[in-house]
Amino acid sequence: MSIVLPVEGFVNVARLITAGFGSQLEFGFEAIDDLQLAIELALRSVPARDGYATVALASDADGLTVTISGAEEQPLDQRFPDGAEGLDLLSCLGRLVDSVDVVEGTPAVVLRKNRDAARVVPAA
Amino acid sequence: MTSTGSVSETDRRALLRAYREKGDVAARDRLIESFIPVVRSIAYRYAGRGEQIDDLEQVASVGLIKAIERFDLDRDVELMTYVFPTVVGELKRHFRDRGWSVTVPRRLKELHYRLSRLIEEMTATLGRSPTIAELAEEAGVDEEDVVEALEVGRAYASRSLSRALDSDEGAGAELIDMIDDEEHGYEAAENRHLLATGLKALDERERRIIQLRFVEGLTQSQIAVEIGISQMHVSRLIRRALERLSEEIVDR
Repeated sequence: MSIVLPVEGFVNVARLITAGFGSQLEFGFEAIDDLQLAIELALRSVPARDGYATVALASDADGLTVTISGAEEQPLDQRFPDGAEGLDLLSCLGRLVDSVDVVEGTPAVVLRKNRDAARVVPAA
Repeated sequence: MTSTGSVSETDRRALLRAYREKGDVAARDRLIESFIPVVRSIAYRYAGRGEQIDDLEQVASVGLIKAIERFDLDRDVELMTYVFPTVVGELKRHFRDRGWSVTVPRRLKELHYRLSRLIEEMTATLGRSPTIAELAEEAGVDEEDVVEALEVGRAYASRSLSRALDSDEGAGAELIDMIDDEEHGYEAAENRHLLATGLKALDERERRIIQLRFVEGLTQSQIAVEIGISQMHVSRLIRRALERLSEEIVDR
């Protein structure tokens, strides 16, 4: 499914939908929360199209893929500097989900949370 | 001379002096114990406002420890007169900083509190984070209710801890000064150019949590144990810190 929503003030909508998908996939609470955090971070970072961004969620047997896309006229790489020396947005996203891909041109951030990893969050 | 229970003001000052001058931790513990009835009494005054009494006692105890750490033995002031407003101030800040930022139905508030506890308990029991379905079953509600209650928990404000304290709240310093003076890992992080600009916008505890989560790769549960707060509170602090970091990065 795909929704177009304002990047300001409607992030909770994306969170709720994500929690629903995560629940269906039997993700642990913490994995869902991490994925929600990643989506929030991506939504705040993609260049919005007239204040809107698109969030697309696709689940399969192995996990959940969330694609956040924004305005085409603004390159994404300026918002996601590839800081190899330290922690940047991509690094943060990488800690929250199992894989992060940046699609130039669209532009879009593709987040992937795998079911097995999401189920096995180690306890403290 | 004031005396509460069997410990007099003179005894208390002696215990505090032993702790301060000789590092006598046992003396400090005895001092803390001597104030427990007082702390409980103060905490009960704040019961019935939507918080568990155990949590209030814990918050009040933090205030007591801060008072003991900060009390100036050279000043001609009784320890009790310093402890009381400091503990009250800690409780006031608890409600001010962690109150609900929007109107939330009581049913969801109560479910949120229950879930917060269940998450802690079930994470320990299961050895992993519980699923929404497991939480729903344990709480006796629908999965949808769990998702909704967890979402409204985002409205449970965790405001800036860097505001100066009111003079009537005890210490006259910034709260962040009281939380954690430990510089664990900060210098190393900054040396790695770890979002140096953005990190300066965070307070010390937020920086530490970001360090633990995104550099050292600890889970929220592990950070909760490390910092001594709940997993859901860790989540809120990470969310707030990421908001600030994101703003810094996008604005630069």
